[in-house]
This record gives sequence, structure tokens and C-alpha cells, in this order.
Amino acid sequence: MTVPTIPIDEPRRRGRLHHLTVGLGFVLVLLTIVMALVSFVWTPYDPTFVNANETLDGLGQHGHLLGTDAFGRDTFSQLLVGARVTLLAGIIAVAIAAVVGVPAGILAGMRARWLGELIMRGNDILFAFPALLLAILFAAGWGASTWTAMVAIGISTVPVFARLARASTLQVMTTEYVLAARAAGRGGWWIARRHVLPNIASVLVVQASVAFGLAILAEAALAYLGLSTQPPTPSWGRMLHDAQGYLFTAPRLSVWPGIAIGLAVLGFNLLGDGLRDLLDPRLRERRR
Amino acid sequence: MTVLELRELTVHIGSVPVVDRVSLSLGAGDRVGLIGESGSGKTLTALAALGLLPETARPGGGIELCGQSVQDLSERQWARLRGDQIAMVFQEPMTALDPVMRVGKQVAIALRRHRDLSRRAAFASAVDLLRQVELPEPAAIARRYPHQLSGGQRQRVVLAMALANEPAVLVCDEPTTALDVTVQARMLALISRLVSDRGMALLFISHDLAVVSQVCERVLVMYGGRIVESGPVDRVFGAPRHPYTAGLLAASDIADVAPGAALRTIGGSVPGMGEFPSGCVFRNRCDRALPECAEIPPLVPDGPDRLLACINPVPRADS
Amino acid sequence: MALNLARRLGFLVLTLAVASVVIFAVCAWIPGDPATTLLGTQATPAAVHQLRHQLGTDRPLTSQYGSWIKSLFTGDLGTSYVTKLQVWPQIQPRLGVTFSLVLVGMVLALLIAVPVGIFAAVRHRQVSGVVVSGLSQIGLALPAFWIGILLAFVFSVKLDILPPGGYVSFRQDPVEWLRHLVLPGISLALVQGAVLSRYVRGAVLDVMNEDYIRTARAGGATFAKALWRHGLRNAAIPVVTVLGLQLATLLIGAIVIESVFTMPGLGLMLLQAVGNRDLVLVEGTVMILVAAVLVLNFLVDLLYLLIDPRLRSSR
Repeated sequence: MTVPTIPIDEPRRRGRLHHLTVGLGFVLVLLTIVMALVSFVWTPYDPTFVNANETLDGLGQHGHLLGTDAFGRDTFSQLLVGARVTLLAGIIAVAIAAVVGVPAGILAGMRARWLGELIMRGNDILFAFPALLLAILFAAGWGASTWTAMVAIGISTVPVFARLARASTLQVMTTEYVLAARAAGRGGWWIARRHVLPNIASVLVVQASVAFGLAILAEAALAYLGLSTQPPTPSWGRMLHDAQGYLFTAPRLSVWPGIAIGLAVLGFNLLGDGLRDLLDPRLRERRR
Repeated sequence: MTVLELRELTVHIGSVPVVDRVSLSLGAGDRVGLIGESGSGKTLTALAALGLLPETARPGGGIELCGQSVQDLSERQWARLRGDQIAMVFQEPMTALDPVMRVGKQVAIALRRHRDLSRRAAFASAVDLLRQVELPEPAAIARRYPHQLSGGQRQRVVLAMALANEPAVLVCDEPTTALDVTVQARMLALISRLVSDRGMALLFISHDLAVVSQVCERVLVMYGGRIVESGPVDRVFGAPRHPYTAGLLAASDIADVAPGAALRTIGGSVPGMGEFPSGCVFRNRCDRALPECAEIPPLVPDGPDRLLACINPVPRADS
Repeated sequence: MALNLARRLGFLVLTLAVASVVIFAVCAWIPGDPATTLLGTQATPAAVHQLRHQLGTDRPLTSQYGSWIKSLFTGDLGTSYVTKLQVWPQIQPRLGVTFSLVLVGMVLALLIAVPVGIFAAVRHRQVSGVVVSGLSQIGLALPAFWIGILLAFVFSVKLDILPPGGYVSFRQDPVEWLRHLVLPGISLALVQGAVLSRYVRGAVLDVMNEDYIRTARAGGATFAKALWRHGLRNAAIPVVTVLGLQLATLLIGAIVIESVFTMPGLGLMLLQAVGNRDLVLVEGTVMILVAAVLVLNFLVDLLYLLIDPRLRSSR
């Protein structure tokens, strides 16, 4: 199975528009982080507090900024706390993928013979297991929870990182400074640390940003299906699931969590795009 | 009859004139060479003649094709002329052809762009064209994909496509530079023969003086976007007047260098786009430069059929 | 080329085998013994032991795996401990639902992605191109199931012109089949289309700068014609390679969308099975899905070979 490299855009317009989009991405990501951090210290209401008197409140009703859900829980507070899970999903997923996938990819790139082949074949097999299926398997066995979801997403993200790390490593291995290092007798560890890692770092950082966004989307879908965070912990995906039952009576409930997810993912994607131009032009030029 | 005329053609990229008031005139059957190193603007001049300049380049001045003014034509209007009145062969044959289409079909498509032919008839004509460009077993080659052909073979296919509709002018931009030396000579002979057989005008662009002297009757020497010298090929190369031309000739005349002696070069290197000196574009590398060279030397007649843009030229052989 | 094909086929089989091992292993290591679950905590050890023997779960894992694989070949995916029903007959009718959704989703996604991508590439220096490119950025950031909910709200709840869920088989009523697939299909297609459109844009941009486009123009083709005649087929190559990946994503996305629109497909069944801790059903269904993903990718690889003649002769 062949996976193409991300198509290379034309030399980027370094103009104002570009800075605008990167800035927007940064702001959105920051917003999400702030929401999560703030939620540890303060929320307008307790997001798990059921209030039978204030169910399905509209905007601003009874002091609820964005209203309440069918159980009277404050939507805004739920959004704030839900940001924690969202970010956690991204962090865990990318961490697993990076810690497992990157070393595997580098190893495959540096030992291009049977070990490298073996690793890449294993990688291809891993590609066949999307996050949802893994999450289902784990949920079937150990019961659904935030952790089963995140581990599932993390494992399913490993192959992308491994493949990318390997491709970049292969490129670096052909450069002259690496050849010089090998001629000077430097061992694999040294070369990996001093030459490979710094040079592939930029590509990996970009991929991490994109993967972060994908992880958020995956977690949201899993939560919607009930395969992630369980009640009463708030989660944007599960909020959408709950909201769907009230589409007739309170359609607004379906709007906010979706916007939150979309903005967070958009932020990470824009950031990733911006980082790509910032860190990548050297590698891009050589690929051409 | 003049088939191609460039009148004070100027091409700007940004604010830089990369082609600066170039004028040339080709009549039917003429073989004109355009000599210059990379960065001289010769390729852009050729592209301008076909309306193929990149989006960032803006042309100015007059371009006439078979008497018709073409500098402001739309893409659709240009499409009617390209291939039919004027055609071009480019430098790099390896990437010039569609990799997923058989070469015979690509030639047939070129034919059907300007002629009302059935697919079968066009393919048959395509095979015939491939035969004319001296490809062995043209019918078999027509069914092959570009990656199954060598560079020389691909260039012949490109030539066949260019000649398919018998244009009045053929522009060749370094057509043999990317080919092996042994293939070069045959390709040049082929181009010469095909052009003369059809009575076409040829504009041949190259940095290789030997090639130009083989194929062309007249030559224009270009540097820094400007024509610095022009005239019949044997006279310009035999007795160059512009110091740049003289330098080019000296540098390419390797046989003349005594063993162990240094090769002759022109001092300095070609400036980047926009970094040419004011006044005479060559004066910062010229060993005959004078203070007066700070003024742009005009391109004026130097003898009955030569033009020269230099106020301190190499002395005539007979003076 | 035949060698190439054989190699890929071999690898497909190998991957399927390894995948089956992984699925079986995960299900086997999952805590919980079917026998005790079925009999309850009050059961006597003897009864549990007997049931285990009956079910075959007291055998070594390798032998259990062996018989599972063997039965797979005969089309028997086992019998669920929970529902006492055979697995395959449960899966089979639902396959049509899921694959219909994937098909419609893919077609719609392509219908969106190709024109959008081409437009964004051809106008990449102009405002319209940049705007379109930006829209695709937004499109791929949105959760597909959220779009499904919103679309259901607009078209089913408010406008009442499309059904809010369910499924009608094609054989029963083609029009209704399509009507029930429109909203779910669009939900899938909007997001996948946005992703694909970026790849299309990149591929077309690359092609626009290729020399053979210039050669075609020099021969009398307008830029648009040259792009159409030569560019598209060349641009399709990198896009087709992405399609394979996208099919897997589409399949997974379809499972989620089935939940949104309560369609009787594999997705809902799978989720119920998880809730019931029905491991046999989960095992069988996941195996089918993984196999589908692998086979689809294999077919796309074949398609790739067909499109690009350079891959056929050279090794």
C-alpha cells in the first residue's frame, strides 16, 4: 500500500494573508488551551450539577451564558471542562505515536535492510487498524473510557509517524554530513542523535500538529458513540450525542460543541500549515 | 516575406527588464541564431514570440507573426497560431512529453489541433512524421510511452510535433544541449534538413557557438537582455567586434590553447537578474571599458549587414 | 508486472493473516470468561468447566485460533455466546447498508473534491482560489457526525424533505434508497471531499508547472485544454493513491454516520455488540471490516498500476 507524501504547495505567499492564517491558528489553539486551564480553576457552574428547575435553558437564561442541557447542566461550563479531554486526546495520541513511531521509523531508515523492511511491513499492517476499530475492541474488553479511546487513537496514529520518520531519515542518510560522520566512524546512535533527529524534527512537528487535529476529531467521534469519556465527565463529543435527542426542542444544544470541536481542529491545522512553511522550505526544495 | 518580427521587445519581471529592446526580423528560409549564456534573456525572448511567457513576466514592444500583430492576443487566439504558424522545440526532452500517453497519440493530437482529421488518419500521419524525423520503426515507436524512449528519441518526437502542421517559423531553444554529443550532430543535421526542405524560418537559440555556426546563417549575440552584436555567422565569429563576442569565442576555442596554459575566460561572472550595470551591460567585465560606457551604447550598423552596440569595439581585422 | 501483482497479493494475504491474529489475540486477552458470564456468579465450578468444554474455550489459544480461522474459510464466523445467533447471517444484511453509504459518500466526495481542487489550483493566485482553499480548510476541521446532525435538523426537522434516518434497500425501492442516503452521504462527503480537494489541488498545481503542458500549449492547445487533455490524467495518479487511504477513513466514518441517522448497518450492530460484551460478534465484524479495508486498498493499488504506464514495464 502506497501512501503519498503530502502534496507540496507552491512557494508560499509570505504575505499578510499567510501571517493572518497562522495567527488565527495560534489564537484558536491558545483559546482551547486557555479554556482547559481555566476550567481547572473556575467554571461558572459545576458542569455535572443536575438542576431539574433549569433544564433546556436558552442563551443567558437564569444566568447560563449558553443555556443548559436537558439535565439543567450549564453548557458553557461543560464546554470549558470538555476542553480538557479534547486536549488530552491530542496529547496522548501524539505522544504515543511519537514515542513508538518515530524511533521505529528512524531505525527503519537507518537499517534499511531486513530490519527496516520488517518494521515497515509491520507498519503497513498497523495501517489496517483505524482508531475506531481499536477503540471498539478495547471497549468490548475493558469497557469504554477516556483511556481506551486515547490509547486506540494513539496506536492508530503510530504508522503515520513511523512512515514519515523513515522517509525523512532516508533523505538525511544520503546527505554528505552523514556520510562524513560514518566515514569518521561515528556509530548509529550518535548519527541518529546529532544528525537525524534535528533534521527530521521540523517535519515531525508539522505532522504532530496535523495529528493533534485528527486525534481531536477521532476522540469526538468516539465520544459521540459512547466509546470514550463516560458520564458524568463532560466531553464535547458526548454533548453532541445528548443534544441530538433534543433536536426538535433545543437545536441550539447541537451547535456549540460542534463549533468548539471545529475551531480547535482548525486551529491545529492552520498552525501546522504555518509551521510547515516556517520550518520546512529546506527539505521541500530538496524533494523537488 | 517577414515571418517573425520582434520590434524593441522588452520583457519585465517585476521592475527588471530581463529582455531589453530586442529587435530581430526573420524571413522565410532564414536561419538565425541567438547566442547567449544563461541569464542573457534568450529563452524569454523565444517564449515571448510564442506568447508562452510565465504569468510574472510582462512583455512590451511589438511582435509580428506573418504580418499579424500578436503581442496582445488572448490565450485562445494564441492557441490558433501556435503549432500552425510558429512552433517551438524546448531544451529538456525528458520532461517534454505527457508520461501517460503514447507518443504517437501525442503527435496525432498535435495534428488534429489545426487540421480536420479523423483519429485514424491523424495517427497514420503521426507515424509518417515519426519516420521523417528519422526514428527507426516509427509504427512501433508510435505505440510506446515516453519513458520507453531515449532522450534523443523523445526530442525527435517533440520535433515531429512541432513540424506536424508545417509552421512558418520554428524556434529551437537549446534543442541538443541535453543530448549526448554523438546524438547532437545527427539531430542538428536533421533540423537543418527539415527546415530547409519546408522553407521554414529557424530561430535557433544556444550558448554553444560551434552548434550555431553549423546551423545558422546569421547570429545575434545577447547579453544582459540586450543584443550586443549581430551579423552573418562567419563574419561575426571570424572577426568579432564586441568584446563579449570576442571573449566567448576565445573561451570556446579550446584547441587554440597551448598545453598547460590557462583556459581563456571572461573575467567575473554573469550578474543575477537585476544586477547588471547601468549603461553598457557588459562594462563591469569588459577589458576595453571606458568611462563613456556608462552611457548605454546604441545598437548601430557596423558595416553593410552587421549591428554593434559598443563604443570601443575590437578593432577590425583589416584596419 | 505479473510478478508485481503476485507479490502484492501475497502481501495482502499475509496482512490478513496477521490482522486476524491480532484481532483474535486482543479478544482472547480481554478480561472476562464467556462461560462465567453466561452462567453467572452463582454457578458451580463444575458447570463452568463443562460449559467451557462445550464452548471450546478451555482449549489452548492456538487451537482456538486455528478452528476460528478454519471456520472463517467455510464462511462461518462463529456463534455469538450472547445472542446464540450465528454471526455471519447477522452481518450479511447489514453489509449492504454500510457499503451503500461508503459508495455514495465516495462518489459525492469526488464530485465535490475534483472541481473544487481544480478551481483552487487554477486560481491559486487569485482571491477566489484562496477563498475556496480556505473553505476546504474549514471543511476538514469539522466533525462529520456534527454536520450530519445539522443537516438532519435543516432538511428533516425544519424542511421535512428528506428522511431523518433509516434505510431502504436498493432492490426494494431505488428512489427511496437514494433519498435515505443523501443526508448521510453528504455528511461524509463534505469532510472527505474537503480533504480530497486539497490533494487534488496539490496534484493539479504540480501538473500545471510540468513541461508537457507547455509543449501542448506550444502545439496549439489553450492552457485549459492542455490541462484537460494531459494534466488531469497525470494529476489523477497521486489522487488515486490517496483514495485508498480515504476509503478506509470513509468506511470508519460511515460507521459513525450510521449512528447519527440510525441506519441498520454494521456500525450500530458493532456498538451494540460492544455494549453487550459480545466478543464473538465483535471479533467477526472487526475481522470483516479490517479485511474490507485491506482489500479495498489492494484494489486501489491495482488501479494505480493501471493508470500509470510507467509502473507496468519497469521494475
